[in-house]
Formats: sequence, structure tokens, C-alpha cells
Amino acid sequence: MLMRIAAALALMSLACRGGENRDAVADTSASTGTAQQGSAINAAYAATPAVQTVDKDAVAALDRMATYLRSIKSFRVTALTTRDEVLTNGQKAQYATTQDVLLEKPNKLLAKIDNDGGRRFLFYDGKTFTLWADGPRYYASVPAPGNISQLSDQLEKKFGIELPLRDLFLWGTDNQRGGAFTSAVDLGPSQIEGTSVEQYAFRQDGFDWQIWIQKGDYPLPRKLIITTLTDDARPDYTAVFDWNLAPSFNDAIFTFDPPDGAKKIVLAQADTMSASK
Amino acid sequence: MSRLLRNMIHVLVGLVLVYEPALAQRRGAGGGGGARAGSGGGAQARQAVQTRGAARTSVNQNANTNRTANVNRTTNANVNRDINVNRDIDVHRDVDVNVHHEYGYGPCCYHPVARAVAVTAAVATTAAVIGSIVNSVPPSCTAVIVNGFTYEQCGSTWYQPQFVGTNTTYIVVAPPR
Repeated sequence: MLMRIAAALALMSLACRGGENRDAVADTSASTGTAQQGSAINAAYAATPAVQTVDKDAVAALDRMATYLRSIKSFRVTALTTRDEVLTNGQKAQYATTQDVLLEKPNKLLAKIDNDGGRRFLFYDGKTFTLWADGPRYYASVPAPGNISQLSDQLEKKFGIELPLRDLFLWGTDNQRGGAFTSAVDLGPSQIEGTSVEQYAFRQDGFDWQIWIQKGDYPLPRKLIITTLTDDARPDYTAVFDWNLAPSFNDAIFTFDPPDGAKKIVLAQADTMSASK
Repeated sequence: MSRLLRNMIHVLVGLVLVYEPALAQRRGAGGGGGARAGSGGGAQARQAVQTRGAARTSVNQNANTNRTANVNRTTNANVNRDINVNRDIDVHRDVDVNVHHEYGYGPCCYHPVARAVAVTAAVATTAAVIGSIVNSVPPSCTAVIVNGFTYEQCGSTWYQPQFVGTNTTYIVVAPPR
């Protein structure tokens, strides 16, 4: 045991010394070459487009995607998403959620959320919103506004509930945030699961984001990364979308019908909870 | 030698007491519902951590990320305290203390409202205090429906299950009837 500790200590001290050496090397190169390297780097940057520009074509690609999304009357999207949380020491921890959303515009939605917290379903039939946790068999229902965009707003403000994948239906609605880009860049062609896509990078107040838009006649978002800049740790949200543009369903599935043993509970009010602290 | 033995007993008792909330959780979760149960069958609850924030999840809408950024200052109950044998005489309390920090600060489901709730809960250290929040209730509780809504009655303590965001939590309330 003692020997192991000693060995570990020896390794640690070696590692530390290694670090010092590397630092020393870096310092040398920096002190000898700063001036020339700096001008060379500047020249290199001057030859390529500056990052802090808004490429009109990139914004147009986004608009084209939004227009296309607006034209789709119903769709089903499954997505694997990850979200970084930031621990109090600044360290990031990533958690994954699988989301399955069936949507019929303007006022029907059924979503399934699977993560470490269990499985929940969200029902919206244009009149009522219901959250159902089939593990504990709890559900809560509230009267809902007339369309999905309003529902998203209301749920977030009143109950702190984020509708899954809500960008997919907020794009192309009044809730879309537009025109506030400090940077917009076309990063070129790429592939997502065998599909040809174009990758774009945008910067807005407080966050950077990247989107991979399918090429061709169906400009669908296939991947999204949002990097939050308001926290030093820069936590990421990522989502990869799998689209079904011809889902089969009947409207009855958007209405929650409490199964046997379902127990009705309440949705905590967001403002009440925040105030009670 | 006797000290070693005593330590071992402490650890064993501690394990039992730590396991207790896991059982409660599993019941609350009903095999994977709102309460946090480990993916491997529920007994192994994941480590709870305090968070200061999370990535925004929408480019078009996000009101939450910064709204309660100041809520995480409270020093919360931690796992080590639960293992302290001298304090674990009241099993109910242990269940609740352990449970508090699993959700509001729990790793699975960052939620600013949940975090606000957890701060409230951290102030209240016993289950009976009205307004305190837990993630699960003891297995001995009975579901009672009052005015159409479900409550869990555990002896003289009444819990009202509620969704905070999309997570299930329980708030201690005055007897509803």
C-alpha cells in the first residue's frame, strides 16, 4: 500500500516536472517569435473572411429552412439531445435525453421524453395540455392556448416547462428571433448520417450556434448545437434530428385519456416557486 | 480493533440508511417515473451535484437560463452527512434530506424552478415542515384523492405531488381535509 502511494507520488512529481518543461519550451518560443508570428498570423487572417461578419447567404439559408418548415403541416421528429449542466466549480456535466415529437399544425402535439428522470408524455389537442409521467402514474392538465407557439410561451413562463425541440416549430413563426446576428458564416458541406448537409455558424447575444441544414429540396435542420456564452464554462446543447414528414396518426392520440390508476396532480407555478425562495 | 469493528458497523448502518431512500425513490418512481432512479434498476441513485446553470436549449426562446442564476448559493445537505450514524435515528428525515439534493440540484434535469424549490427545501430539515420539498415519499404512504387531486398521506404528514417543470416532486402541505 505504502509502496503504491510512493509510486503515485513519484509519478505525480514527474508529471509536474513535465508540465514545467513544456511551459518553459512554450515561453522560449513565445519570447523569440512573437513579433514576426503576430504579423504573419494577421496576414493569414486578412486573406480569409473575418469571422465577425454577417454572411447574407448564411442568413438566407436559415430563412429558406424556416420557410420550408412553415410549409410542413405535420411531422414526427426523433432526436437525441445532450445538455451540459455547469457544476458550481465550473465543471461541465452532460446529460442526454431522447425526444420523440409528433406535431400537427397549428394546434396538436404529442411528445415523449426519455431521460434519467424517467419517461414523460406531453399531450396538446388545441384545448388542453397534459403532462403524464407513466412511472408514478401522475398527470396534470391545464387549459391551453390556441396554437403551439403560444403554448410554448405559456408553458415556459407559467410552469417552467420547455417544450421539446421547440425551435423546430418556432422557426418560421412570430416567435422566431431574427436579425440579431453579430456573426453568420457558411462553414461548408458536411454529412449527417449519410445525408449531405451544409454547416452554418451564427452568433447572437449570449450564445453561439451551429446548424446543419439538409441540401436539396428539403432544407431540414439535421443537427443543432447551441453554446451558451453567458457562463464561462460555455455549456452546449446538442440535438441530432431524424425526420418523418409523412407520419400516420389520428387526431385522438393528441388527447390524453387517463388510464386506470392515473392520479391527477398539479403543475407548480414558475413564478410562485421563484418567489418562495 | 474495537474501533475498526465500530467503524464497520457505522458503514453498514450507513449503507442501510442510504439504501432506504433509494427504495423510497424506486417506489416513487414506480420503475422509472419522475423520481430519479438509476438506470440499472433503481437501487443505485446517481450522485447529486449542485449546478449553477445549464446550456440554453433554444435559439428562438429561452427565458430560463439566467432567471434564477442566484439560487445556487445555499449550502445543501450532502451525502456524507446522511451516512453519519448519530443523526440517522429518524429515518424519515434521512429520506428527505437525501432526497432534497437529488432533485433540485440533481444531475438529470436541470430546471431553474426545481433549483428554487430545492433552496426552500434545504432550509426545512424535517419532513413535517409545511412547504418543504422531497423527491419521493416513504413506501408506507397512502394515496388519497381530495377535491380531485392526489395527495400522499404518510402518518400525520401530507405530501402533495406536483410537476416542477417535467419532474415529479412532493411538497409537504397542511392536511387537506
